[in-house]
Amino acid sequence: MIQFIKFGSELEYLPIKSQGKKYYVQLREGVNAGFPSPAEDFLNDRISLDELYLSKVESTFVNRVKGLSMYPDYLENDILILRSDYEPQHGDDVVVSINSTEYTLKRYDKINSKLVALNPKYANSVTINENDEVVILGVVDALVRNIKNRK
Amino acid sequence: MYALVDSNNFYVSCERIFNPTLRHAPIVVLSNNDGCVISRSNEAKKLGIPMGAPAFEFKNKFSELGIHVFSSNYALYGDMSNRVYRILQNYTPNVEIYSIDECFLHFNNFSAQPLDQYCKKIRQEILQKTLLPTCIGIASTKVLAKAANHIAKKFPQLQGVYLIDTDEKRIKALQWLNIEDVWGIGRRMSKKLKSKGVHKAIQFTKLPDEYVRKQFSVVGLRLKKELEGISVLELEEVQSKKHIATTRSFDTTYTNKEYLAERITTFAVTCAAKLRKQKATCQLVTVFVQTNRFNEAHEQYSRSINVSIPYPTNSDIEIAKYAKKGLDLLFKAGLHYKKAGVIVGGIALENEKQFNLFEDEPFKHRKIMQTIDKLNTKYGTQKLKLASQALDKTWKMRQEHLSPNYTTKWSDILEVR
Repeated sequence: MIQFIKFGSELEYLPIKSQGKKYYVQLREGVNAGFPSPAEDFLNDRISLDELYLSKVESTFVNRVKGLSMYPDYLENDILILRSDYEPQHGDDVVVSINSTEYTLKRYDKINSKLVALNPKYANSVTINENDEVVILGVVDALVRNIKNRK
Repeated sequence: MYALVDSNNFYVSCERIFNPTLRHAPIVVLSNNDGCVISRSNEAKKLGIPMGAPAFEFKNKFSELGIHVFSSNYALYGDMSNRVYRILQNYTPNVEIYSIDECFLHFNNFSAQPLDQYCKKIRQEILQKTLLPTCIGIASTKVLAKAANHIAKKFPQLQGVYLIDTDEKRIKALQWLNIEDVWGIGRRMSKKLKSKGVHKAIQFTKLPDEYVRKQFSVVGLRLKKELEGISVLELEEVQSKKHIATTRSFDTTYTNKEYLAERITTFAVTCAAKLRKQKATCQLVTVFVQTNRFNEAHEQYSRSINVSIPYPTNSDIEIAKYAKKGLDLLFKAGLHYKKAGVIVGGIALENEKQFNLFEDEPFKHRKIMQTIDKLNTKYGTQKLKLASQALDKTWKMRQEHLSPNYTTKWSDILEVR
């Protein structure tokens, strides 16, 4: 029979059994009385870029920018995080193909039904007509740019 | 009610996602080692390219007709398949992967809106998020859902979704459906039925139960019941030619990773043995784990992952190795797992490689595999590792038309201007 040894009215003390199942608990160093370290709950966490950019893996595509058609907003070798679940809004940048052309990066001008290349040297803005087949791979959600090793 | 979601010309559609210039072009995808045609765009079908056409025989025809040829890229197809699966899971937890391009959904009898409207929404969402066109067939049994899917595919005016929800519709469907297109009726069985004058599915359902059971065993009788609208089939009871699955529900739930790893290994080995028995190889391993969906007190988790193998194999060790890799990526600690499975896909016959007249490497490969299997049972895994490493160097698969791994490799991501 287990006897509880009472310490005042708040604490109970369980006697140690020598037989039966043993349980092991993790020992943390430097356990002190007082407040627990606020870091304790986060021991195994680390900042995750996946969390930021790949929270919806089923509708995320990753592309790389070539050329300067969207200069100055985009530079060569910028990495685009595209989201295919977003409905393109006015002013969004999209990776798009019209009537079976290659995908290009363009700014969507919803008001004028246009896809605009930002670089004035590139005159390849496109007007979307009613019967055009427009395929959008995704809306640009974020871009990753390497600063240290740029040329 | 069951719904079968099936991606149209799946491998071809995956290639098109990243190459919009081919949206209306004739495309074929070749099997392992560029052996024969395993997926065709509608345009290629119209040009008269048959399924299974040997690549070396059709080489000139492909270039004459301007057909675009791709080697199979299982890393890409596996990833896209996984995306579809994830989307489907948002609609119902009861999703069963049947093959790389087919999933069954099970709906309870209550639903906020008509199921065909609901499935149209699912189809639209898959199309927007993955650019993959799908067809969905809905009915009270799996065999009927497969038939409804067939109808959705054949009649474009249905916009990819067909629901069989009345007996009238069921009969109409079965009057249309050829006996050889009934899911689960093999070539031998349909030949036998045709010799007895049974050409349409509806005629099969008119045969007496006792006769069907005698002639075609209990398997035939079950198919008949399913066609009559009485659900008798669970998953895994009808084997697809496109994949081999070994899945089990556990007697109780397990939280321990070692146990799951042991199970997964065993399932992988079972799949490998089935492959060898059929003289076939695989190139894709799907691993899935599931918690008990009927226990709402525990955290629910259901995930699958596709791991592509760089060369076709039917070796226990290779398949188990890749399955284990998959489990490592899937496993989440502290959950109560109730079910797990291994599905192998990208199946090709070993002798398909004979189409390559000047390549005797695969035969060497098979010998090595057999030797590995023998060594493995004799000496354990240590020896084996050496052999499998050497293998990578001695045998390289023919993949002359391989597309980039757009979604799984940094060096291969799509470049846009």
